[in-house]
Amino acid sequence: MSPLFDPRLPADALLPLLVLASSLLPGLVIFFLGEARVRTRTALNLGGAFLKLGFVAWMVWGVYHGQRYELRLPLLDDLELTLRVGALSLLFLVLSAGLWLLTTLYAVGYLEQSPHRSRFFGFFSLCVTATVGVAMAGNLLTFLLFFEMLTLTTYPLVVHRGTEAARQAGIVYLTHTMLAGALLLAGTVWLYTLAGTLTFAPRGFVSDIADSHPGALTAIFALLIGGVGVKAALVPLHGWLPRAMVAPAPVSALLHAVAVVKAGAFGVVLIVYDVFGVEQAAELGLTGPLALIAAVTIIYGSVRALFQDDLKRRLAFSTVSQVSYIVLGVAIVGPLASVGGIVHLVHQGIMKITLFFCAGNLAETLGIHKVSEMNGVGRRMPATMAAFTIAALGMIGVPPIAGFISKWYLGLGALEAGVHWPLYVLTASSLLNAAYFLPILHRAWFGEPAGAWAERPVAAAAGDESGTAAAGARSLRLETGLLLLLPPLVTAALSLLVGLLASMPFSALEWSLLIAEREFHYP
Amino acid sequence: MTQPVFWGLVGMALVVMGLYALIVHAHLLRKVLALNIMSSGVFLVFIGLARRAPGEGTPPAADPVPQAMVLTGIVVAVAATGLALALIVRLRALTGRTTLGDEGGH
Amino acid sequence: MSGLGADAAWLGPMPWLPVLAPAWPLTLLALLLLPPLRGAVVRLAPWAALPALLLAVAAPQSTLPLPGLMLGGSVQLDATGRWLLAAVALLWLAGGRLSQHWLDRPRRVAAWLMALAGALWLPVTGDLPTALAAGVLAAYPLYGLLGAGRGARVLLASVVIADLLILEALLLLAKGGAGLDFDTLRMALAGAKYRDVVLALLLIGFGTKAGLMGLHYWLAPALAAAPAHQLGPTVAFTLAAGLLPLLRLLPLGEVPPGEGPWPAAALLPWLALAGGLWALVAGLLQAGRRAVVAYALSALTGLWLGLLGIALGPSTVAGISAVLSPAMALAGLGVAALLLAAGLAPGLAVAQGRLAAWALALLAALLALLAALGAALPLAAGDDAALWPLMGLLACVGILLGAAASLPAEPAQPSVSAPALPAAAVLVAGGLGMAVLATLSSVQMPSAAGPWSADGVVPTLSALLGGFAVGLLGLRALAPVPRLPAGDLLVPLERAVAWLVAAWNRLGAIVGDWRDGLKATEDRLHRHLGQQRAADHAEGWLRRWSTVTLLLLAAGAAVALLVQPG
Repeated sequence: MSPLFDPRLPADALLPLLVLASSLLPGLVIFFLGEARVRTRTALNLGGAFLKLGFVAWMVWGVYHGQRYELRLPLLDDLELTLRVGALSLLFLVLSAGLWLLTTLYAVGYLEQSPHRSRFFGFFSLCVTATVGVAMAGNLLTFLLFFEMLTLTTYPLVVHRGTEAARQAGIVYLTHTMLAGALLLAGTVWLYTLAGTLTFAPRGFVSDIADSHPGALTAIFALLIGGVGVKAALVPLHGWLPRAMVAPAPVSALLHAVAVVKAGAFGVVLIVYDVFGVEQAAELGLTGPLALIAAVTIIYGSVRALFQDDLKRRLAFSTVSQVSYIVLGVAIVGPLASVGGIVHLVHQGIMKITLFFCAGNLAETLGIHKVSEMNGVGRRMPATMAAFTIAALGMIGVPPIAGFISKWYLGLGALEAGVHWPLYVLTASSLLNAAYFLPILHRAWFGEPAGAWAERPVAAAAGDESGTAAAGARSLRLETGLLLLLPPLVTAALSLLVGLLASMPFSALEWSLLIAEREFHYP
Repeated sequence: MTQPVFWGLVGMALVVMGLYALIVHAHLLRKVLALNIMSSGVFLVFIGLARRAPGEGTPPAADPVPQAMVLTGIVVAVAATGLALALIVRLRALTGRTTLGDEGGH
Repeated sequence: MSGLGADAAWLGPMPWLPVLAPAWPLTLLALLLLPPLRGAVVRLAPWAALPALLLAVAAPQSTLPLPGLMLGGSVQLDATGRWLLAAVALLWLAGGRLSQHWLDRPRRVAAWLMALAGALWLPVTGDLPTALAAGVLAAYPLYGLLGAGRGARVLLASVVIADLLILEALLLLAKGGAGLDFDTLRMALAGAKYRDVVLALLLIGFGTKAGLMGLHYWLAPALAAAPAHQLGPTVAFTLAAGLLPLLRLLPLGEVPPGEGPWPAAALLPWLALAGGLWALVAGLLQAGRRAVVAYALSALTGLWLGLLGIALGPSTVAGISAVLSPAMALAGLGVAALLLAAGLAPGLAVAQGRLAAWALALLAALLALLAALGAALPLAAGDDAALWPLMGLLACVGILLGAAASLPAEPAQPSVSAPALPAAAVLVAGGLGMAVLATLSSVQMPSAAGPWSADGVVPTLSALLGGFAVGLLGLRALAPVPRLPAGDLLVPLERAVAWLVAAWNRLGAIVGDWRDGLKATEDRLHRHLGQQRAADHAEGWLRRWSTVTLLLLAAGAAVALLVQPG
């Protein structure tokens, strides 16, 4: 009988566990805190976030110098719970840990005086635990476990407000994701029976059985992609995403930039690279349909976004479209395209979270929910709109903001692989992005203020924020609470810097090139 | 910690949680759910126990008898849950309530 | 990671000098965020282009590789960029002088400084991605500075599309995997497989920004609606964002000998001539002076395009970009001077105003002449077949310039409250200085047929001056002809876009109706089934003893059949 837990674990194996624990333990404790214990709760949250960031930074340094961290817990006889940290996991880990910290700050400011904060932050911490678990998954079983845990921990966040619309959205969300979980489980079990192992390997682990079971492997691929594709919002499985916008802004920011959607996209990356191996998948003819689905999603999401008046719904459809850039990069068989797809994980996360933070600011401070109400808001909230402008221009792909770098590599990768149609898809998507973002910017900066918020004087608007955040706002004459203003400014600055300094060491681009070099053995 | 102990502890935790929920919640549907969780816990303890007996081969094969008992138990649990749900539906149709006796409230 | 330590070029202070050109306005922008320093920044902002001007004149030639910037960038100051940097700086300084009363709010100052930083960054970039980034920084704030109206909207939409086309061209060029700096891209373009496609994309993309005929529709409305202090910067935008990258990217005189003549390039002078004639017809029928000058600018761009086309051919003069660059710069200054002369405030004393107007108009003519002379040098060594389209273009430009000079000044914009004379003085002084420097440097430059040979100069001068005279005197004859709207293509374009949007909305409505119909059918079906209580009936039927017995028998028979061996 193999022992389950070896007390003589090397330090290498401890770090992944610590990363998990740094949000699991505070989360569990927060559940039992009373509503009034604001300081304790905030201290636990922020402490956990900083600790996690510290551990991840430590691992970045280690992995850069060639070290690997791994933790194995035997669950069943020949299946283990494996947490391993390599270059690809670290990309997602840094994104999650960094953006979790900022979202925690934002959520503390946003949910001042809201009910059920302990419940919210408890599930918030559990959600991040599940996300880092997905990032560190070393085999398909671990991935499945943490993926399902992600579903369960995000559902309470979606229905947090408790209104009828929130409950309906929760039902839709749960239906979609439960179905996805079933598909994922079926695919995993089938694959295990065929391949005998589930451990991720650099070029996939199905090459032995690929000749004998091509049909079965195709079906398994469809099941697995269907399972993760729901979270990654591939058309036609994206229906839950626009409805989930009824959740509070920190949840939308987390769902759409860090946790759920990125976990789905990360799952696609893992399935194509570490389960099947991209060359094997290309041989089986699987990457073509995947690229097609990605292209359809890109165009469909952008087209739907054009017609939305509600700001968060427009951003939701924009997410649907942008996440498929990652899938497109994965599906085009080539090193540069995969670099483009992987780096877009980070870039889109940073830019999208900025947009959602700004949307939350507008809703919370001025009560603006629709694009048609945004006329002239740039005069009242210039810093928020400046951050929004930078992120929106990045989404369109305007240099030097981060989005340009990913589109560059995707285009270059497509040409390198000898296919031209992704270029047209990317061009069309950029044009559509411009069509639905630029009018918002025009309205905000050059429109005449109109609507209910314009009639209220500035002092009263700041006074809607009660609590310490507003007191800080009044004394500094900031446009909104400090905790609400700082995160979007930080992420907007990050989007600009990540693009401008893209070729510096330790930038997202350089790290993605490192990933391509190490994990896929590409030159 | 060996595997049987691990699964046993997990099963124990589930039984305790189910018992707590069974006692605390007034709504009958929640009681049925709590019973289901308790039975899942009991099954996990059984599966853990099945690992303790040494068998042949590497890795050593599990004892088949507790596993058979778990299968039976699953069938029994499904049937019992179906019966309980039918009774709850009937109770609600007759009295309009979903709690028992003096526990109050709907 | 690769070259930061190995390359010692960035260690000395000299190579960093060109960075100062855009860095100074950006520093002012950063300082704008601090309330105590805001007053100082507002006072300094109109003069923020001064360090760039000094750099253009005095700084040594240098290249600074910045491998960490974007996709591997660099900053360089070479002969080509120097002239255009000086021209851009002069134009923005003149604009700054005029805008001193308008730049009172921090938002306006921020937009001004951003556009200035972009315009100054463009001539010192060493690679195309940073040039694109600089172009973005120059173009997007220009939208706000031009008043966010129709002209600005068209400009921005055109810039977005143009940037996408340039990106496509860049992707096609960069496919080899070599660097992205201008030298490497020039080589790549000379030998590329799809070089005609790439050339077309580059011409359309950068031509849009330069106001090339066919893509000129934004220039006239933008200039007509712009406040007076924005006229210079808009011309600077066409120079720096449109013409300069073409100068840098096209392999002028570098076509490898084995490649043979480039047929597409031989077509360019004739295309340019066609564009010039179009500009002539449309320009002479414009309603205001500014619009006529806009068409003159487009025709001038066509002239440069024609010269570039000749330079792409096998029989070219080496170092032609060093000649074209000061020519373009001077011509740009001249056109801007003409524009500014059109917008002088009536608040000035009448004699002073007229004097300033004539000074500017004379300067414009002088500079345009010098530019044309500079352009004539390559002709002296070129072949005669290309002479005719260029003569024709020069004549068109001359006619349009003369027509513009003959029109009365437009009523001044209310925003011009600062005296325009110092702005004019800036342009006059700078232009004359540049003209002198250009003449000196061109005299020193070796040329196949020698400098100022009579063969090339006479036809050029006669075409230009003749055209000027014709335009000046003959415009009145066209008075009865109805006027064209500014940016003639714009009206059908706008109608087409509106029609497309309406068709799209109709399509959306149709799809929406179809979806509603589907949903209604689904609801009806649901209700129908519910009414039939189909589920209850089925359940009742299943419960009957006869049904159950039959099912059991059927199941037993099936099991028995399956279990049977074989």
